[in-house]
Amino acid sequence: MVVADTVVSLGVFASFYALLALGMNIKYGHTGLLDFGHVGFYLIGAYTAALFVLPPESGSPGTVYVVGLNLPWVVAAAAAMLVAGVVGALVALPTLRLREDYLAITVLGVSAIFQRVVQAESWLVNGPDALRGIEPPLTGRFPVGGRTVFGAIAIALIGGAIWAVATWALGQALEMDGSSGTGGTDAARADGSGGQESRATLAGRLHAVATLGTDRLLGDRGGSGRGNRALSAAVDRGRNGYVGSSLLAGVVAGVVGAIVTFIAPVGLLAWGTVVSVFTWLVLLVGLGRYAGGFDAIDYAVTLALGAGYMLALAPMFFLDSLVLWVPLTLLAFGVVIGVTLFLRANWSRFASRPFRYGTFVGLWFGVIWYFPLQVLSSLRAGDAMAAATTLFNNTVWVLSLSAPEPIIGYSRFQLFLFGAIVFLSVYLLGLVVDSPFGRVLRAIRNDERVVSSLGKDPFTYKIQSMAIGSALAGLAGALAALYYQTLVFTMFAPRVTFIALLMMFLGGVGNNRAMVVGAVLYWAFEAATTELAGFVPPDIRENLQALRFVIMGVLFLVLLYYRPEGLLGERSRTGVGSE
Amino acid sequence: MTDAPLLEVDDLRKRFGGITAVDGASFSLERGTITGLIGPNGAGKTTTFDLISGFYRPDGGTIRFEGRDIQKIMRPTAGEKGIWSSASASGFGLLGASAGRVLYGVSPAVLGGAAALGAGAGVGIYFGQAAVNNRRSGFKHSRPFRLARAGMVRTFQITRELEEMTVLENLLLAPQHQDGENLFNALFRRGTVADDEAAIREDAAEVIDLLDLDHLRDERAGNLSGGQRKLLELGRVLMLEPDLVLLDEPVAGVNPALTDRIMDAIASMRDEGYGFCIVEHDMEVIMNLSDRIVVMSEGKKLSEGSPTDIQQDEAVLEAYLGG
Amino acid sequence: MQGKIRVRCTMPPTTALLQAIITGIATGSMIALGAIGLSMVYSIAEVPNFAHGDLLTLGAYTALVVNKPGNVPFLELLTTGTQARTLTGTVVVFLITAVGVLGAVYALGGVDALGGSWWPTNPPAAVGAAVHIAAAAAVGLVVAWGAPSIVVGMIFSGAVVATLAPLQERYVFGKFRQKNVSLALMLVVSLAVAFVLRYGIQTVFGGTARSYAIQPTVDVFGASVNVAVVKFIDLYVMDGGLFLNVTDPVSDGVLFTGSWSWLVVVAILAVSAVVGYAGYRFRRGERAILGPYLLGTIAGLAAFVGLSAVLATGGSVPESSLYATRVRLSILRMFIIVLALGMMGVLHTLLRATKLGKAMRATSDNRELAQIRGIDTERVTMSVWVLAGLFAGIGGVTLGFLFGTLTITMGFFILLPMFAAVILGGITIYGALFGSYIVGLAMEVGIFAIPGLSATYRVPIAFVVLILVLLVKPEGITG
Repeated sequence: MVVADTVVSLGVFASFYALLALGMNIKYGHTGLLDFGHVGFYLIGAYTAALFVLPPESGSPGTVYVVGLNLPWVVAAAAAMLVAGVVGALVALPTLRLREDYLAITVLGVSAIFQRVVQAESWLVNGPDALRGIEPPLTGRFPVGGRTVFGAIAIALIGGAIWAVATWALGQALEMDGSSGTGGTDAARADGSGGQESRATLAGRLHAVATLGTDRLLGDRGGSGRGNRALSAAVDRGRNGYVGSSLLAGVVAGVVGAIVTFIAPVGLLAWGTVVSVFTWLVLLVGLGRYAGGFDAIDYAVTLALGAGYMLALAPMFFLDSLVLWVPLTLLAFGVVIGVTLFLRANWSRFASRPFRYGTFVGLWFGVIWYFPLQVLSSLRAGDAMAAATTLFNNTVWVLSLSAPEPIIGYSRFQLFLFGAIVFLSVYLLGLVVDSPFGRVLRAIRNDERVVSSLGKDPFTYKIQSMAIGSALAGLAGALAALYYQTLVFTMFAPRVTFIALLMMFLGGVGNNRAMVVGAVLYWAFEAATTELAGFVPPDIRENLQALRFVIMGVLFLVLLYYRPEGLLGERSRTGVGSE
Repeated sequence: MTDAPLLEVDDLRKRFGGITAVDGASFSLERGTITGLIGPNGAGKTTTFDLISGFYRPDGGTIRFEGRDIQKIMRPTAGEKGIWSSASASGFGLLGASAGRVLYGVSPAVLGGAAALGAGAGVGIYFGQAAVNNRRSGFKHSRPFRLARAGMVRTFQITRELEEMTVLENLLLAPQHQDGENLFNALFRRGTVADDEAAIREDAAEVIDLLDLDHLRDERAGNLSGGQRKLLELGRVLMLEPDLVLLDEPVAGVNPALTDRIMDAIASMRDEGYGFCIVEHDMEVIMNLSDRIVVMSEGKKLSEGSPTDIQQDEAVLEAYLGG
Repeated sequence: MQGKIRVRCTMPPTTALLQAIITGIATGSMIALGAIGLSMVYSIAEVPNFAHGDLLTLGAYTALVVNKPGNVPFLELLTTGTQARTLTGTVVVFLITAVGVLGAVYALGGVDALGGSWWPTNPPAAVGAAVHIAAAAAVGLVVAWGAPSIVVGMIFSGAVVATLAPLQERYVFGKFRQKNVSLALMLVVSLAVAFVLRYGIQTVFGGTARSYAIQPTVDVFGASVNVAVVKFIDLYVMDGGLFLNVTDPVSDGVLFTGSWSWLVVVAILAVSAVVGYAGYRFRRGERAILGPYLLGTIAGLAAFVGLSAVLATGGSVPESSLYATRVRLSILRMFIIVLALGMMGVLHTLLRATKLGKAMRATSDNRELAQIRGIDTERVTMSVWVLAGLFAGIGGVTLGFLFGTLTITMGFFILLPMFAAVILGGITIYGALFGSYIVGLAMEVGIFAIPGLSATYRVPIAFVVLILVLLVKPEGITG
């Protein structure tokens, strides 16, 4: 299997879990409501969506459910959000007046009630047995290749959206460079001129190319239009500065892509390659910006450490005997961790930027796994052609190349679909959080009595926060239902709430974008450990899987203690007001 | 506007367990004046404040704000009662319907009946709970925030800031009826919200200017000194443009320079027509600032008059020395 | 089984309500086993501990070391069969127990505590140390000697978990408390600890369910009685009086038969009431460990049970009766009721009669104030964790016994009703006891009272009751 596929499926998981974490973040991160029953709304969303999508009951034995509406998934997802949101508000009515710990435990109880209802009422959604047959949208139409109308439309959408997001992200990276001066070296740069100056850099040129000239088109108009509302522009610029041109670039790119793939036989391959390479370039630029003042030594050290962690796993790969590799692997890990901690404690470069270093060590580890490790066996066999093919496959991640013809398979479409939903949610939530409404929510998290003494009813805001958070959990549930296609009540154990909490604290409490990072990190850990579990004999695999939860729990505790604001931290708002 | 006094306290009483904190205090105050509320420790000043601002329910007596009983102001409106009881009714109706479904099957009559029963129970529970709570404390079902909306705002003896928010954000939060506080507007009417926000930011800039908080604008409120917090609280009150401001020890623990600035700010606001009621231990401040002074002792009003009258009142002197 | 019963001609019907109430009391006791510790930690150490359920699980699995060492990873090497162990194995069990006891003492205040610093009197360190070591050795010997027995397993689990529970406080919760984190964050922390504990157990034991090797029968006065199977307790109301018959449906043996004429019944009731009232008068107005109500109740009940046993006359099952009822209850559930009562007694004595108990109550009321008044809240907190661990260890084994199989989620299963009970009681120790029985009764009577409601709904009922109570009293019943 090509690892690009693994990463794609990881992305799908991460996307609906990111929505779950986003919901939790609205409740806890922004409003301070600790909802231990978050999974309950995920459950409601999942089953609501399932009932909306399922065809009317056919009378087949073993599958009983109350109603099948056979509606399109868009309606189902909307209904899931609505129902979960309303139920969230209803649950909030009696519980919100309680102390925070009572609230948490009571809503946990409510989620347990939901779970038990699903389990016990066999007429509702097939009781303790699995509810099967949830048809994901458009499965029949995939995989798509080039040269068909549907294919062209799908490719226009997918390619266009990826292009738009990547262009926007690139713009953001430039903006970050211009305004905040992360590395310290660019701090002297003036606020306004940053964007202009960065045009001259390589990344700036890339952005100029990527926008396909559309920024020029919009540039003048956008500037004067915003001038009237200088203040709101100041608020908006950081986030929306490049939205218009990115969208337009996406549309243009999508149309071009559709035409190319429809006309030329190798069009799809070429188009996929261009889009993929573009995303890699954007990733590189982003990382480059993030690295800030990194020089060759920094890169080399992080690379060495990343490679060290990968090497520490080597005994596992190459030795068959459990008695041999377990102690060796542990020893190797001990050594690498020891070296890392030593550097962290004694080397000023590392100590001054521990998180950036840590991120890069992790990145190098991932990069080594994604590229060189995948071609290792081919190279050892001397098959350079196979190695090159694998590398190419992993680079052109937008297409799956395992079939004779390049295609866009269903999982990639799903990633695109879910990713777009996550992106839209993060964007809309950003608007909510930065509005005066979001300000009241944060004030409630700080001190409810102040809000009350200023003439605002905290209760109505808390209800709305619960409704929004629950609706997001419901949306996550709907996507999960479409992804798994089968629902069982055991999927909605309180563990899911714990994972959502973990993602939230991992990314950064109160920071919406960090939820995506938290979800991706969690699933990366999950995927990595699953992969590793393949190396142990089946009879202790279960123990090992439990062990990884132990590690996860311990890491969570360490995180809560040493960095309760999460890896990314709460997004600083101090800059928002500056004109 | 009625010509009733801005605030009228009549025979106010409050007991905590066996201790009588306020024992029949009566006084009133007018627009555009500063009234000082003084008295020895334990005289019941802060409790009186808590009663006036609606955080406690008095055991006896009335408090009228612009002629309206504050208990009436805080009481849930008929609309709210309707929303709440129907929410309760629909919740329990749903519960009843599903119970009926579980117990007796899906006949519409059963479902309807069970739902109606549940809804009835829901309404009953809502009003029953409201009654129980009203008898017990009265606080759970009353709406102290409504006093602020009506135009009466208080500050706290121990300042309460939104520590994780900046000074500017603390001020921006305060104004009433902001367009962007509505979720729908925040998402779909962003132009209106932006205009509103711009206006509020202008107000905030003025307040920051007035209070000389310019250099701290983007500082987190949690990092401010005690005096700066007092200023910030005052600023928040200014943003609200209330009719009556209750200040609980506005200059306690504040350095002299800041004290002067706070006093100036209060005096100039008084001249704009705000009414103030101030609890303060610093006699110099209170005597300089107040137009009238109410002296409390052991929960009762001991004396009332202009600062000069009070300074010559022997009963007051006695209370302070004896207390 | 049915056939055997039919021979008896008059099989009294099960009275469901009475049955539900009795079962509810048993369930309430089961909840109380854990809720006592949970409420102590919640109210005194101020940790809403989600990991408490997993402490029970830990206790249940720990007893395997004594009861079925052949089933414990790494310990298999020291065994010769599922239950028999080698000499080394016995020594290991002895050492673990002794270290457990000493560790629990150590948790109370480090090396000083081992020297007896926590005693009410101030003994010389050598004396304290000697007594502790002797006690540890004694408990160790009892465990090593009594090995596969499950009762010994309880002692063993109690000692081990009592040592492990304070470690949570020292290395996790205490650290976070120093950072002054909010209660909400403490909840999240405890959730993470629960995760670590639960999956830690699974890491060692794997996913397969375990069970104890128990002799289901126990010799009681020469008759062997199966403790896990329900007994039938039949009560007949006749013209002439009452008849009580306790039978074992499996062995068809009669465990107890007694009949009382109406005169005797009235006499017993009257005497019991008088004794109870005398007990109440004896202590009226005093604040002793055995307060007036408690003493009165105990005296009255003791008189009732004693007199009933003494005055019972034999007889045979009547052919006809005005009213007959049957309650099913296993010895094991009775044992749980008694065990819960015993724990409550210990706790009550501790809280009322000892200095530590007073300190605990003061800390529970107000931690800062207690500190100002010179109470070593640190030590109080640690002792609370030791006690909670002890009770969790014993309770966990009992639950494992009752459930038949040990699973890693068994603790979490019981945690939700436990939390419902504790919050219902307003986070006080006595409130939690009260809450446990309310929740237990609500669960069983609710399932009985609403036809068509499956047993899956036990936990939901607990929470519906909790939410309804909180609607009216948001601070809980005693809050």
